[in-house]
Amino acid sequence: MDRYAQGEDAAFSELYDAIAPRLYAFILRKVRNTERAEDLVQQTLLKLHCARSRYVPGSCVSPWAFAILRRLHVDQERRKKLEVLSPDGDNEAEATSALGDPEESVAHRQQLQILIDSVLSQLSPPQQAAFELVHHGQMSHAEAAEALGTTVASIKLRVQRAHRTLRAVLDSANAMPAPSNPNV
Amino acid sequence: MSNPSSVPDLPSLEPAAPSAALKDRTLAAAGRHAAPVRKQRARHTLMLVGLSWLLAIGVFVWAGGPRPSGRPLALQLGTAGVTASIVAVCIWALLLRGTSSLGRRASLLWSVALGAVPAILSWKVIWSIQFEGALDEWPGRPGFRCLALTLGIAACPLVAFVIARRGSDPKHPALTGFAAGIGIGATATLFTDLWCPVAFIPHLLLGHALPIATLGGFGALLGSLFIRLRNKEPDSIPRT
Repeated sequence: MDRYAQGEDAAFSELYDAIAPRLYAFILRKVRNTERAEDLVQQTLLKLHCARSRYVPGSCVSPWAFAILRRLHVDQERRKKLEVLSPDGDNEAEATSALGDPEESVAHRQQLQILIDSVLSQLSPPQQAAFELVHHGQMSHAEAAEALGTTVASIKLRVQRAHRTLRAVLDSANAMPAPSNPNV
Repeated sequence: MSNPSSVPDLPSLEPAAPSAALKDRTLAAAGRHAAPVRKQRARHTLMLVGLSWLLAIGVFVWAGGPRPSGRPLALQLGTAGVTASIVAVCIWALLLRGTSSLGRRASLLWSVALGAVPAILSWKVIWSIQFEGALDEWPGRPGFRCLALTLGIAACPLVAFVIARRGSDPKHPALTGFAAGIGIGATATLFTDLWCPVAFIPHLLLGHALPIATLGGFGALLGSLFIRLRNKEPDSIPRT
């Protein structure tokens, strides 16, 4: 990013490779629509491009990029609420297929996803934001703290509480198979 | 980068990667939008901020410049020296972005912004107590001229700040604007203190504290309107 901020245009491709997959993975889980997710990632990267001169040398790009992405998403959601939209059933199906592995049970994954989403939506907004940035955005605690404007200790606490809630609900629902992959 | 803690009981739900076309599309779109580089931005900001403060000093000089009005030199130096230190902290915390591209943390902005006015006024009163008659009421000086002068000095720098930061804050643009208003207002008060000999407390509240608060409110309004990150309709982004 530093080279790009100084005017080396070719560095934008490297920046894209470093950050776009994480942004996409993060936002796809929220919007559950590949086209919208790609639009938001593209807008975020264009915002970074336009604001490259504002980059503070030596600072981490991820919190900045995720903060922009979150803002764009929130604004888009607000606009959507003002519009009359048709039911989103097709998008759900598309998102499920994008998330799924053809070898696995799509129905099971869909159920699991719905359960996780419902638990996440019950978390307090600070816990939800911290959990999403750390797990879906693959950010470190320090990066998430910077993105949310809080301390690392606070992020750790929020994520820990989110884990506890999620685990309790999943345990009680007994909806989980034995873990094959320890990461979310 | 340290990795987030793992969640052993949760399954992996890895989403698909973005399409290859997205990269081409994004790079092409970036190629079409010229974006200034850091040196250009720094030059532009320096010119803008420099010009705005030149205008602010012009307003101060036009109003008469520093006026001792019979105040002891120690009173003037003591007031101005400590106020300048408080203003320096305000500029550092409220107007500069620090080590993050996202700017200062909200808690720091709030604490410095809310502490600035009490600190400046408290010091002025505490220091003025040492000098006989310094806190006396001045008939015919309720504080409206100080109010106008502070607002007049701060107007251009505040507008310059908003122009320099326009469309840049994805987190708390109103708070950024509020903090800028307080920081610039505190700086303007430093000039007003050199101009105004009155330390009568109601005068200080009306002529010295109120304009800073007003600038903070005005900054918050400008921030929410202009400093906030602007969103573009998805449809306006080319998909080919």
